[in-house]
Amino acid sequence: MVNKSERIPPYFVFFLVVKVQTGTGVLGFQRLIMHSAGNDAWIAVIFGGIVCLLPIWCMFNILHSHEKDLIGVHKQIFGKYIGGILSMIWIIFWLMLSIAAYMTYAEIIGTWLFPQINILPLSIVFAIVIYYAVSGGFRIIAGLCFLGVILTSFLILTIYFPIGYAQFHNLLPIWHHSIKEMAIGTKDMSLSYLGFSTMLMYYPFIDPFKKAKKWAYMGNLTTMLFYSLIMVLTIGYFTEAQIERYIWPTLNFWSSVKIPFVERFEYVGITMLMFSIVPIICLTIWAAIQGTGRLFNVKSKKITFLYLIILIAFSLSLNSREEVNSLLNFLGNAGLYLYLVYIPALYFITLIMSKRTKKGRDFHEN
Amino acid sequence: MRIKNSLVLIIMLVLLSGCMGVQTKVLDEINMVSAVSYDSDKDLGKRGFKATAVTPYYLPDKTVKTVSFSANSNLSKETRDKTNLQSDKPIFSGKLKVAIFSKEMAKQHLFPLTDTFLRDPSIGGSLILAVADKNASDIITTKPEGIENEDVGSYLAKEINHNIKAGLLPKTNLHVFTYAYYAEGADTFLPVVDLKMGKPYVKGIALFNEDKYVYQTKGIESILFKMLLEHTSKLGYAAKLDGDLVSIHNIRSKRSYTIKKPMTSEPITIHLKVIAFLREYSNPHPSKNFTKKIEKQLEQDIEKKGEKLIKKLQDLDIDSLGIGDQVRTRTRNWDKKAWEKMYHTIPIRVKANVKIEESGVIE
Repeated sequence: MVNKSERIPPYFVFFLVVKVQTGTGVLGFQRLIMHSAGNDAWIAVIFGGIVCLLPIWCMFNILHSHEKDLIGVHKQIFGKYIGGILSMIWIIFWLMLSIAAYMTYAEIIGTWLFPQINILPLSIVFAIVIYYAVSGGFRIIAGLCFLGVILTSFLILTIYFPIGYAQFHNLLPIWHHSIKEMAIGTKDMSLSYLGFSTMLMYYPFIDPFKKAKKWAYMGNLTTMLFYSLIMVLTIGYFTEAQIERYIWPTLNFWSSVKIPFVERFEYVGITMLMFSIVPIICLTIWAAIQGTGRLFNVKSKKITFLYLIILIAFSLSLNSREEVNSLLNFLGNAGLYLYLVYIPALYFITLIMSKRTKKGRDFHEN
Repeated sequence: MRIKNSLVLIIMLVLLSGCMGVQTKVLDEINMVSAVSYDSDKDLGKRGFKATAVTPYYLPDKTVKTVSFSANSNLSKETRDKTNLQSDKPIFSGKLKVAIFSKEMAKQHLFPLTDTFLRDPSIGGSLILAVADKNASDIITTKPEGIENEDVGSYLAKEINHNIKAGLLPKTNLHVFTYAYYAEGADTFLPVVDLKMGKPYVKGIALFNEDKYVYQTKGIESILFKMLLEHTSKLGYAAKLDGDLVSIHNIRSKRSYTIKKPMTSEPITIHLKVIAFLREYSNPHPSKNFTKKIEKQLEQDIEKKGEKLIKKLQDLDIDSLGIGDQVRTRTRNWDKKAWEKMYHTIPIRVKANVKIEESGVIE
C-alpha cells in the first residue's frame, strides 16, 4: 500500500476526473461532432457522457475486487509476460495522451499567440515544470488538478458575450439525424472524455477508495454538462456550414468578448489555459511513469527523464496540423476500444475469476 | 538545493525571454492599422482593387493624426507587403476595427475578401464591415471634422456600434456577416456609410444576395428592416397619419413568426409587438382617446410598409430577414433548393400590435 502521507481524500477524484477530461478538447471538439450530428450534436455530447459511465463503473469493480492498480491486476490475471504487454499498451496510451495534450496547446500558441515561436525552448520550459510537478509525487499532481479546475472555472463566464449573437432556434428541429449519424457523433465525442483511465493507476492513493465512486460519476457528469453547454452555444452561434471552417470555435467565442481593459480576450484566455493543460500532461504522464516503474521496478526519475525527452522529441517532429490531427484521431479510436471493449472485457474476466475462486474456496471449505 | 532551484529559474527565464524567437511588438515601434478600405481597380482585372489602410499617429499635444497607405493588388495580404514599403514601421492589423468596401467591390462577390480577416487570428469577430456609398477610401482618409483626439477607425467603429445599440442598424459585424453567408436560409447585409459635412454617417443598410450587393434600404425601410429582423430596444419611428405627423420613441419591439405549414405556399405571418413612447404629435387639438387611435393607425402603417418591404425583398429574391432559417427550424423536410424556388411566391404578412405606454407630460 501507498504511504499514508501520499494519499488523497476521495473527493479529489472529482477534480482529477473533471480536469483530465476538459483540456484543449474544449476548444475544438465541436467541429468533428457537428460534422456528423449537426444541430443534434448536443445530444451526442450527452450520450457520450452517459456511455462513459459504463467504463467507470467497470473500472471501479475491477479495482475493488483486486485491490491493486492496473499493473497488479494484469499481473494477477494474465501472468508476468502477457500482463506486462497489456500494461505496456496502457502506458503508451497515457504517454500519447500527454503528448496530444501538449501538442494541441503548442499548436494553439503557435497559431494564435506567437506565430514565429520556436517550439524547442517552450517544450523545455514545459518539461521543467512537468518534471517539477511529477517528481513531487501524486499529491502535488492532485493539487494541480484541483487548482486547474478552480482557476479556469471562471472562464465559463465568458460565454455571456457570444450569447448575444446566438440564434438558439438553430437547435430545432430536435433529433432529425439518423441513429447512425448520432452514433458516429457519440463516438467522435469519446476523445474528449478520455483520460479518466488514469484512475487505474492512482487507485491505491485514494483513501478510502470505496467513497470515490460517486465523485468519479459526478466528475464525469459535470464534464458532460460543461461540454453540452458549450455545444448548445456553438450550435446557436455558428451555422453548420460555418463551423466546418473553424478549427477552435471556442476561441472564436472569445474573439467576441469585449471588456474595456482587454482588447483581445484570447490572449488572457489561452494563457489561463496553461493552468488547464499542465495538470493534464502531469497526470497522464505520471500514470505512464508510475506504470512503467511498477512494471519494471525502475527508479521513476530515469523514466521521467526518458518520457519528457520523448515529449520534446514529438513536439519537434510533429508540426503540421494533419499530423497532430491524425495523432488525435488515432488516440480517439484507440481510446474507444480500450474503454468500451477492453475494460468491460477485463471486468468480465475478473467477474468470472472471482466467481471461480469463490466456488473453489467454497468447494474446499466444504 | 537553493543553487539548483535558482539555476532552473535562470534557465527558464533565459529560454522564455531570449530563445523563443518571438517578434516583439512595442507599440511605439509599429503601425497599428485601424481601418482599411477597398476600392475596385479595373486595371488589375476583374477582382483587382486598391486597398487603403490608415494608422493613427499620436502626437505630443494629445491630438491624433491619421496617415494612410495604399496599394493596388488582387490579394488583401499582398497589399500589406506593398504598404510596408511606404511605412516607417512594420504594419500590424491587431487593432483593425473597420473594413469598408466600395459598392463596386460589393457588387462582385464580397466574401472572398473577408477570408483574410477570418484567417488572421489577430482580427476578431467584432470587426465592423461596411459598404461605402461612393468612394471607400475617402471615408477613412477624411478625418472627422472637429474630432482631434480620435482616429478615423475607432470613430467609425464607435459610430456604427452606437447605431446598433440605439439606432437603425441591426447587429452587424464580421461574425454576423459570416454567419448569414453560411446560413442556408438567410442572406447577408451590411451598413452603408457615406460622408456628410466631413464626417462619416450611416446612410442605410446594404442588402446582399449571398455576398453580392443588390439593394440599399432608404429612409423608413431601414427601421422596419431592423424591427422585422430582431428584437429592438431603442428605435424611433415616425409616420404621417391622416395628415398629422407622429413620432414614437424608445420602441421596444419583439418579432415572432407564425408558420402554419412550413415548406408550403401557406402564408407566413410575422408578428410585431411594439411598445413605445409618444414623443411628438403635430395635431394641437387631439381628441380624447387619441392614443388608441394613433395605435391603430400606426399598426396599419407598420403593416403596410413592412409588407411592402418584404415584397420588395421577395422581388429581388433575397432573404435578408432570414425567413428561410425560420422555416428550416420548423420543419423536418427542409430542402434548400425547393425553398429558394418557392420563396418569392409565398405570401408574407405582417401583423403589428402597437401599444403606446406613455405620451409625455401634456395631454
